[in-house]
Amino acid sequence: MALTLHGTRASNTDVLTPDFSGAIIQVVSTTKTDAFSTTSTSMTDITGLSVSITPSSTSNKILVTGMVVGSHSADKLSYYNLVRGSTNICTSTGASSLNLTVFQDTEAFSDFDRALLHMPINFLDSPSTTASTTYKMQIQTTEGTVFVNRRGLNSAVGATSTITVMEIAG
Amino acid sequence: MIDRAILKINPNAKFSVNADDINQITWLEGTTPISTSDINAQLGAVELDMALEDLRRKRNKLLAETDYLALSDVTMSSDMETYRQSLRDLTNGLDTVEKVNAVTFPTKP
Repeated sequence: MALTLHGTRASNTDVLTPDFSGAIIQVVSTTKTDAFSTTSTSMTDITGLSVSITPSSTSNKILVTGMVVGSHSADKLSYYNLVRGSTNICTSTGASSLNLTVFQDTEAFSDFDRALLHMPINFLDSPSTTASTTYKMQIQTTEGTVFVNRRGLNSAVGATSTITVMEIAG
Repeated sequence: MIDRAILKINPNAKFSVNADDINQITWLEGTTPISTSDINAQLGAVELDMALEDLRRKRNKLLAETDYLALSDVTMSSDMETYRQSLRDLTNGLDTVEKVNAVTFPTKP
């Protein structure tokens, strides 16, 4: 079987420098298994839905993936942001009212407090740091109570939410 | 349940609750904290509210299924009238969760 090693070699005396660009260097993941609720009308951390990673090079990227499961007590809106430290890193642009990572509109459902929305998170970040970096999800509601990992109606049935970060060689 | 108990005491309270744990409440936006004993005191009433809410929701769906029989150009049978009235009366006198859970729905004629 032929073996191909990608890399650069300027002369016969050079050590071959492999090109690991795109390789996954490390993976860190957190799964929140219990519920969370808030009536906050400003962005607040979802307890337990954060993950920290220390990139090994400033040129490496961080792929953030995950899933947030949310519900609401009323036919209202709830907002979610993906945050690095205290900075929103993946928000829409050009919205007339509010730019967000993802939002949930339970007005669309007749049985709004039974609706459990699964919201995937995918973002390739360039933190340009080798310091420990925390990624987390924040949440707020326009009115009423917003829930994570359970439906608005009651806590009879539970779900899980996850955030995973992968360091990708640059 | 903790969130509902808090809102029963202060409908405008801003807070977060993790793991539905009374010891993991974060009070937000200047909300005056409510004591755990006051919250605990509301839990029984909240449980009854939730049970009744669930029962009414199921009852209302059953009523909606036969709403068309109440149209002016349809004659409703007395059996159906009794059935619908039984559904409307279903929540009468239900003052404990045990009573709510023991409710049996009338049979549709």
